[in-house]
Amino acid sequence: MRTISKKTKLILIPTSLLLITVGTLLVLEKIDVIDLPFVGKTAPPPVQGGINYGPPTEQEKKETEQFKEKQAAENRNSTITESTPGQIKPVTPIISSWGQNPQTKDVRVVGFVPGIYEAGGICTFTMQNNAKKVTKTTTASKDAQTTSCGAVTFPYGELSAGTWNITLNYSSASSTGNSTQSVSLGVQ
Amino acid sequence: MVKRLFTLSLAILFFAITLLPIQSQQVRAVSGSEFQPGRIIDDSKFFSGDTMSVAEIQAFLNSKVPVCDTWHSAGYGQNPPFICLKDFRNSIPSKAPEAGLCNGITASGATAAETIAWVAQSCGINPQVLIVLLQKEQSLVTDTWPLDVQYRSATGYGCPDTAACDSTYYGFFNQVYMAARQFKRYARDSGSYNHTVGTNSYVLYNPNAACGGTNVYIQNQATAGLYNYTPYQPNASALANLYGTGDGCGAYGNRNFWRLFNDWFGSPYGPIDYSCKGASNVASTPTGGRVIPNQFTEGGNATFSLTLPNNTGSSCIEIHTWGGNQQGWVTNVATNHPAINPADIKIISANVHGDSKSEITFVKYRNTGSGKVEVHTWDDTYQRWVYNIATNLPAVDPADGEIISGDVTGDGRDELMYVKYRNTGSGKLEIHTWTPNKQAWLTNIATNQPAIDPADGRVIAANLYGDIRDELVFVKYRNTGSGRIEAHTWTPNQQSWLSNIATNHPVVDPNDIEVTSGNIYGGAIDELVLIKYRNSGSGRIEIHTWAAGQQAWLSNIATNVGAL
Repeated sequence: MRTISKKTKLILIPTSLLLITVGTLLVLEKIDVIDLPFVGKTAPPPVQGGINYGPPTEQEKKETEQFKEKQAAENRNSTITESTPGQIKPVTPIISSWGQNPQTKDVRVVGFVPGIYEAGGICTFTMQNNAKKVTKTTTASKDAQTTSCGAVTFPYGELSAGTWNITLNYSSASSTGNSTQSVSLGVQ
Repeated sequence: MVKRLFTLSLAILFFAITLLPIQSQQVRAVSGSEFQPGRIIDDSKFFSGDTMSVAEIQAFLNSKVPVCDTWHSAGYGQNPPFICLKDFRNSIPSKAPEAGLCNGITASGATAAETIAWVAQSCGINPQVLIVLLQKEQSLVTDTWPLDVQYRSATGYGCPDTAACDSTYYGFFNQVYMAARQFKRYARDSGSYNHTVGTNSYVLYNPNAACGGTNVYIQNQATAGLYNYTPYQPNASALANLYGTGDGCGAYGNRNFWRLFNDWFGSPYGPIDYSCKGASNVASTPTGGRVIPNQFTEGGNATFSLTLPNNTGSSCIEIHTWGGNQQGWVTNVATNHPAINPADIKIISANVHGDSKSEITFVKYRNTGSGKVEVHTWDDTYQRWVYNIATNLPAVDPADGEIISGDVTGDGRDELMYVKYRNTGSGKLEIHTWTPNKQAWLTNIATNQPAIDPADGRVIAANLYGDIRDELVFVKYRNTGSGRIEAHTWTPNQQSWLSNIATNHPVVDPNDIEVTSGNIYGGAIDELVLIKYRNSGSGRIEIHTWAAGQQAWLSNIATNVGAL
């Protein structure tokens, strides 16, 4: 068996120890245990044409697993089932925008119902001041992820100058509810 | 023994070196403070259907799932094999073209990448948007063992929050196609949907309405579409922990869309308009420098900016914004617009979004491409336009009138008004207030003030009474009965005066000064401010801020800029 000379040992042993030290430091740097100043932190990402072709980050992997757990908990991906007869789901319609157009001389109000996905329900928009109450209704339709009430317009002729409160009610065979926002408009 | 030690050392070094490149693949993360609720993504990015080829989409999907865990153990009610998005195939049916929506699709078998690319091209939706949508809704892009249910509701179309999905829209192609088509419907039939461009829309923080929301000024169709699709914005806690979750009122759909787009495809904003490149100053024409109040941040005090339309070092219109005491600069910006003759234009600040913050707006009175008075509003960088509007008003002679801004209706955002000082049909000073789209007049008022030479005085808007609206103030610089600068404040209909004040300052040459207004001290009312451009005691531009009543000064500042 060939033996290593003492001189070679004197070179190999310190070299090996140096390589182990450097290698260990680089590994520790990689796993964020230490922070080496001479290791570049701003190397360009694998972006080509503005597109990041890098592998998923740990954060993205974690979010993916959390998504599945959350979906399973909420059972959101299950198919819509018919409501139990007589069981009405409470909903809170949202007035998403309101305003007036002095040129067309009317007030426009828009709304939707989050949390349900159905068509055919009745949306009732109401404008009310101290003396008067005016209502408009629409038939709800399905949007991408909500039930849309669409828009209604109240001509100035049906209103009078002053402050009006606006509310939205939704009613269908399976859901019902009133808006809870405090919405008012100073009609010119 | 020594040989083994050496071999081991080489192995450790090799291992370390092979790991290092992984570290360099980290991408700069965006910060929640960069999220703009009214501008999640620009239209130029969103409605661009050919940004990636099928091969590029396939390469991207491959990169996000380096190894598919096909034989992952059974989970969530499904047994292996699991098919990753990069390997997924489906049959797509033919679709007829629909005007303004999608251009039709031919029936075929297709990979996920082909499905995304073909739908994107047919409907004119950026395939990157569809990829981000698949991740935002079902985490399909990065999932190494996706479930069948994730494919059948891949884009969340027909899936309301807090309730189950509608089976009518099940299926990968169906989901991708319906989502892209719906974004086009929001654009084509915008009047029928909840959120529309150029309006203040109430956007919830969470499906639980009790969590509240805020009015968001929707700046473009793409953002309107995203809010129509998923009607929630992130609250402060969701933005503070951008890569995690916030409090019980957080919602993450639109936040994650914006974050993922940034992380995977770069900025969601369109290219900067560097139209100023290679510009020249306008020879033999004044600089036209003016000081304007600038409400940089929501709820903060106004500071001042010096606008230079001509004779600038950059040959572009420049905007220099002072720090608090006007002795140094916070920003010095060469805008995207070439230098211009100041006699043709005016630069004003106006709260056009109703967010308690002002935007800088560039008004062109004449020599416009449209032949109309034009209003161009910069974004915060002054490199891009938020709006470019040719108004209903034909080009005007700026010697007869000017455009000013102020919230005279009390709706929380500033209106623009055309103040005509002379050559009016009524013989009176007239004030014409635009509707928000500047295509019609909200009001046309012939005031109680006879027409005047605009060199004698100007109309400004200021909230001097602490109510919800600005008053209009006629500031007379010279030829006053009192021999002093006078401030006359109108009642809301401009037919009589609320107050007539002879200030503590003597009349001045109108070429040397300007009176403006701003909420300089953050109180309930605005201050009136006297700007001296030249012939000031200090030889510098001076900014003097009046106390309420205009009989004393709150501050007198000689700025760091020499007289113009």
